[in-house]
Amino acid sequence: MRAPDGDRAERLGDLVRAEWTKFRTITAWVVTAALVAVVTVALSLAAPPARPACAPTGGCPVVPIGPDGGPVVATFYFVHRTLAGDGTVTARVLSLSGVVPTTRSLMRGQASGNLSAELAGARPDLQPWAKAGLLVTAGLRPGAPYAAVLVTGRHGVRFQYDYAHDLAGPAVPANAGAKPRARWLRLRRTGDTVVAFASSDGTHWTRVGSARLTGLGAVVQVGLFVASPPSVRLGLNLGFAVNSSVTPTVATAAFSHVSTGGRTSATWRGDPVGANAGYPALPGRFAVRHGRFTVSGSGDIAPQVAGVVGVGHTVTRALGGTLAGVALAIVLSAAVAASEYRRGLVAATFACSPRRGRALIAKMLVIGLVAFAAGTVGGAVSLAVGVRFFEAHGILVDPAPLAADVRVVVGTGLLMALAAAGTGALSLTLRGGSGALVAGFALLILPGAAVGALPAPLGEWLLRISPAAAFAIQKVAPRYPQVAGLYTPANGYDPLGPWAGLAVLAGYTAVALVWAHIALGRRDA
Amino acid sequence: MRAEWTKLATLPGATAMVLAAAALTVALGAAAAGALAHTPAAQDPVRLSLAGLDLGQALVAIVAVRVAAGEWETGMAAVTYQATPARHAVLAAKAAVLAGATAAAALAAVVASLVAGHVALVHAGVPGEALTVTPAVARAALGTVIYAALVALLALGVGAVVADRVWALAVTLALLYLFPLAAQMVTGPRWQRLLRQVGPMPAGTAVEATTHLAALPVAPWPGLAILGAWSGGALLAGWIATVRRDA
Repeated sequence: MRAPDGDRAERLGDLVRAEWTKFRTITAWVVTAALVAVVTVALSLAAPPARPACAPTGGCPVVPIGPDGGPVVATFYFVHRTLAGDGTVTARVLSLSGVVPTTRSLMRGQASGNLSAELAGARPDLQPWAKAGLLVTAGLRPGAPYAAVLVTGRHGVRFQYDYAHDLAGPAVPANAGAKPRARWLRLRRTGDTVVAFASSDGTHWTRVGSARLTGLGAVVQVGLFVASPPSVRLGLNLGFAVNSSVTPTVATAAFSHVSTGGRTSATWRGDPVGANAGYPALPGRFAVRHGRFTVSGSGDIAPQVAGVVGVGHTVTRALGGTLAGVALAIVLSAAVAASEYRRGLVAATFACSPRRGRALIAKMLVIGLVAFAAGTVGGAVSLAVGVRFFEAHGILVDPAPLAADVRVVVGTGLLMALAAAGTGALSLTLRGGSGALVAGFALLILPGAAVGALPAPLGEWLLRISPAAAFAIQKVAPRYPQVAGLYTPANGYDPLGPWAGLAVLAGYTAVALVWAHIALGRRDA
Repeated sequence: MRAEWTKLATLPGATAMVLAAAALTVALGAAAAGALAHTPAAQDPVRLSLAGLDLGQALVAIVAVRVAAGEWETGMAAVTYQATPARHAVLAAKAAVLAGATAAAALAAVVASLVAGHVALVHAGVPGEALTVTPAVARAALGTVIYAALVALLALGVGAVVADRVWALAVTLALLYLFPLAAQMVTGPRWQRLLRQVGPMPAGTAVEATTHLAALPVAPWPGLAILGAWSGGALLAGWIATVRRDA
């Protein structure tokens, strides 16, 4: 049976309009579509992250901002002298070792007076990114511009400056023997430029790198520093819970042949830097005996990584309700697509438009556009209101550039559109909503929830191949190699980039659409 | 009741669905146990082997919702209730048949999961974690079979209330999975504990645990009783809805 003017009934625009009419005349569907946006916003605001704990003395943590405007971690122990004008600082690192405390109070970062006694039972374990070396900085304020040359636990000699920049130094020579971390290090400051050198014997120096630091000022602090980032364990717990334990660690370094050139102050001072930033760290200390400096420190000098470590959250956290919104969008699209089969309306639909491919496209377009609108509106409102809501409640949110915000909002809409279109197509193929609903649920919702309970390699694999990779479109944090250990799915990081993740979902949706097209064309409706 | 059994057995794809649920449970359980080798010690091997049911229960819910709501959609309900005006008897028969079939399938799945998990653990070389038949393991196995049947009954009740397959399934899945998801998102430890005590899935799966029992939010058998309360409530609501609805 063909419609009287056969060509007209098959124009895509008319089909889309017909589908839209079908959709909007059912109040329950329109209400549910609006609810997708409402649920997204409501659940984003309903579960704010925990407020960072304020110290008993009343100081609330303040996230330091680095020279490039981003949030940083600047918590370490610094043995320093004042230097006016140009000069150098040289030292030989004799050893670097680290411990992870095992007593409860230390693991919570609460140290009583006698730290060395308390650490007696600690487990020896040097963090890969534990740092010890020389530092030149504008001042003791966390976030001040700096340059440092240092040895690390497992990444050799490095030159780092202004938090985000990290360069590898010369590799450990083959004859390093039992002391692979023994190095001579030197920093030379000339005006605003700092040059770093390393040597294995104190005579032949290799240039490691140089940096131009704006705002260094005439008077700087130079000296030795030690930092040790916390040990993070993300545990497996099948009750859909994330067990995370963040334990501050302490590293101890021995320096000898410490000398400075230029106009410096006479005495060495030892100061903890950034002790009240809320970063997991224990107090440091230093001692000098016969020209040998023993310095212990805890913390890190690095860009801040939002997650279980670190005090700030990215704007993505203000979109926590997206998962529920996507779930509701999947339900709606399964119901809408299945409704035709339920009452036998599909025969009428295909009678009016025998070009079933077009009918399918029209239906999926309407579902997709509705979901896109709901997702974009929900995402935009969540982002705008959520960030302000969090900050008003004392929760620190790292600012993101406008382009990232736009990408997050539009990406949320696309995520919902693709999820809805894929589920709808699957519903039509399976001639019912149940299978599509469970498939959409298992592929999109469950991985995001389960990944917090899986070990990192499994979680990453799951987030690479399942459509849930698309949630990466909402992630904004840049990645720095010097804090690599924290970029795991359980900590909120996806292995794929934002658009790559969305492309995975698009692939699944395309497969569902093609399958539906083939299936519908082939059989009796 | 024989009529209900025939209806269930002839539902297109029902047998396949139940078998798929069992197979999925076994496969996921083996995978989870295999993953145990990569994670720190002090995990519960029995709970991990049975973890596949966390996903398999969704398939059970599909079948149950279909049994409950399918007839309303096609208009078969009129025929059924004409033949048997006592609607509560019809619902009871559906419940009995569904629970029985689910329990039988679950029994097979649980035994196979435990064996597969044991094999996976031995293969991964995890020392000292072999599954021996202890009272705790027997309790976990029996409890899991009952858990599967209760989930089916919960879905049946929801399906009877919401006489639409897709929405009933959505509500059932929400009841099952939203509680643990919310517990993960909420930050207050009191709220997290409350959600894990009250939710049908977290409370019910407590019966699968054999180690660290003190750390569970609710003890095994009381947890199963909480799930039973949910299922009972759903069935009651379903009964009321069925009796009052125009066929």
